[in-house]
Amino acid sequence: MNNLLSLLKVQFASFLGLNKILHAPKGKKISGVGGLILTACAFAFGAGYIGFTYAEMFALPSLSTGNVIDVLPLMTSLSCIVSFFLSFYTVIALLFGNKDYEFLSSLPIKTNDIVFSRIIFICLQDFAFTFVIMVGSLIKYLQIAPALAVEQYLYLVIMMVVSPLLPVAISVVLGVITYLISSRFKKKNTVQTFIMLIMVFGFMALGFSGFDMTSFSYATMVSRIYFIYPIALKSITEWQSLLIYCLINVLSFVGVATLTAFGYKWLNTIGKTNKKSKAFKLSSYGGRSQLNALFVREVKRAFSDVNYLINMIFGPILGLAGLIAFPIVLKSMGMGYAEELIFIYPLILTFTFSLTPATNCSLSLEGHSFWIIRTSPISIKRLLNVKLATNAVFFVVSAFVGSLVSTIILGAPYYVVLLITGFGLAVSCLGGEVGLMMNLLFPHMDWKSTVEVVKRSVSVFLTMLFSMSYTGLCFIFLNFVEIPIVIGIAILFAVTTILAVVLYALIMKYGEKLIALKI
Amino acid sequence: MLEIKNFTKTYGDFKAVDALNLKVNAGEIYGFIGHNGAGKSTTIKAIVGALGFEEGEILINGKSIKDKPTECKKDFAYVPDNPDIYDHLTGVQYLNFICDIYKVKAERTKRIEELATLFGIKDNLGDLTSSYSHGMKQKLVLISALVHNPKLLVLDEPFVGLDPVASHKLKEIMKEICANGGAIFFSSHVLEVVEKLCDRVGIIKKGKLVKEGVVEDLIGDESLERLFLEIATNE
Repeated sequence: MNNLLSLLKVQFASFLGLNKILHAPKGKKISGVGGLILTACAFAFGAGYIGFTYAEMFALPSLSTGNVIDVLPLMTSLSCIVSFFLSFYTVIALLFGNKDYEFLSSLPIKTNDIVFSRIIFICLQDFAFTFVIMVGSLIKYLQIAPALAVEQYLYLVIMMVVSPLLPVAISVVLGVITYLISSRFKKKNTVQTFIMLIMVFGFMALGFSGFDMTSFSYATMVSRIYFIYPIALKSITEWQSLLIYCLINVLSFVGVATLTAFGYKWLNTIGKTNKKSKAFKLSSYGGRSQLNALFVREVKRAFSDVNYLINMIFGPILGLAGLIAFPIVLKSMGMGYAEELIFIYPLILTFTFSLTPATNCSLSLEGHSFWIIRTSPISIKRLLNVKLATNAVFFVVSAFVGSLVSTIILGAPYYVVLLITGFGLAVSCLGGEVGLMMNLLFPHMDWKSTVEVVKRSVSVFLTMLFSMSYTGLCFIFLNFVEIPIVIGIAILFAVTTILAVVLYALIMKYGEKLIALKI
Repeated sequence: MLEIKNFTKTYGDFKAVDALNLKVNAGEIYGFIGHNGAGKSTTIKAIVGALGFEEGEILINGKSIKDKPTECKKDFAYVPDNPDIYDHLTGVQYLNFICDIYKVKAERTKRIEELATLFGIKDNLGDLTSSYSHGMKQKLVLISALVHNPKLLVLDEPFVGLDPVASHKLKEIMKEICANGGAIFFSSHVLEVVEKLCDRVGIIKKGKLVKEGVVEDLIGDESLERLFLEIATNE
């Protein structure tokens, strides 16, 4: 038990670079702690607000039936689905990709403790997410319905505590299966990425299979959530349901964690055993330009790390899907272009194309191998430009294509097409620059697994905070300032462009100094 | 080839290196030794441009690493004490990346093949570097340092992790580079190697260069190890 706690403590120390920040020199410590506080606020505000607003939406159909209390287990189900989506592809890296396993396995610690500590840490993260979502939901619930009975508060707490267990158990099973399949191939990273991508989009497709977008209502959304995750229903009102819910969660978790722990050495050996390579034949190669070589390196890095890739492409794919679906759904409902409808475009573009830019952790991903760039004849400006260019390939291109195609399908006038497309370009550029600036300000170079930087670093959270805040500002501006929507979007376009230009200039001017100072 | 003038590096109130002056001429192998935390790695990192500094000057081929870092970096190659390289690239992809960065055009494949054969990792070049052992990574970093024919080699503990055959070959290559007019600046804790290989040696203690000179003049009839121990134990 002591070993387990020590291992959890070590993982917690590296979470968000916490220990490094706490032991940094005074100047760096102040900025690091500031970043951490902002990150915590971003997380609490973001997830809490999601819980609050979704609870409001889902409470609507329950209000008419008098079962408002059902919104709480519903929100638990929703947070389980979301936390599963956010974490299942990180399992392989967390279980098998940590560079400290060899060292830990040489210590007098049971392998079970190492594995349990990793799985429990994933649970703790998911619990934090569920907790914040549920606090937001509970606040909304108490605004619209009478207070819960004492035992119902207890039921809710029990439910929150056990909720992350089943999603984590399923994640571990899927992660282990993917790991086993991919370990049979020489290019296991590529195979792993491919399988995970299929799973992510497969689950999304499954979740929406048979879902009629044209008959969309909050009631159909509620039934869809219970269709995907039915076990939480009635867990706050009936103790028998709660008992079944707890048993499913606890037993599945204990079973999966125990099996994984006992089979870990075998799994790890299989995964780490390299396929014998055939005699390598060196073929003649002409070479690339310096710029091209750096760019190819960035792209190869993206496609070799499933966490980085999925985190990065999630926004653009969601954005593209949203942009293309919007006019199609409108047309299927018999609606066409109307000026008041286009206010949705800045919101979709801002949120999806600046939430997880490739740049928000690309500097941190250099990690301990950053010496290669620092001692090579490459200017830092060139490196930063390449990072922005890589982001542009994924984000700017998809924002451009998405907004162009979407507005054309909608039948918008040419000036609206140009305006929306221009805004898409500007906001995706700005998102990439904000990500890079955050990573310059809060680099996290000492990591043992890429998950630490891709999912748990300050720069990633602060970029998300920017994206959410900017989306919120756009929403407020377009809804509460009384000017025509087209003029409003034109102003947002101008402001975003100016911000993007200014931030680019700042990155070029201070990027090298920040790297010298922070890394 | 390499000239360090009054180089001082401080971390807060702590002076890691204090007014260091030294010079490495073309055709020379310079051994830089000192106990752990003496300031060797700080000096090396400043030479190669991985660490900024406030006081002093470091010149490579007459150019300042502070003012013209990119120009300077074209002239040298660096091998760190820990060969952390890109896990997502294969050995040959990594070497080609380095060749692209240093703009090696002519006969790059031939050069890669020669060096990889010499260090015995030719058959592994198609594998991801994440599957390499520490020694293989060290060999790959050495190949990447040699592939663009640098004028100056800066090596931090280059023999750590190398097998005896590779160590021997590296020593031969170091001599060859110097015979062709290049220069080598390296740190090591293996004092026998430093004694046999180097033309000149500098001993750093608590950030100050306490002894420097031609190996034979410094040690006389004694060994470098004895001299080093004397300096290390004398306060």
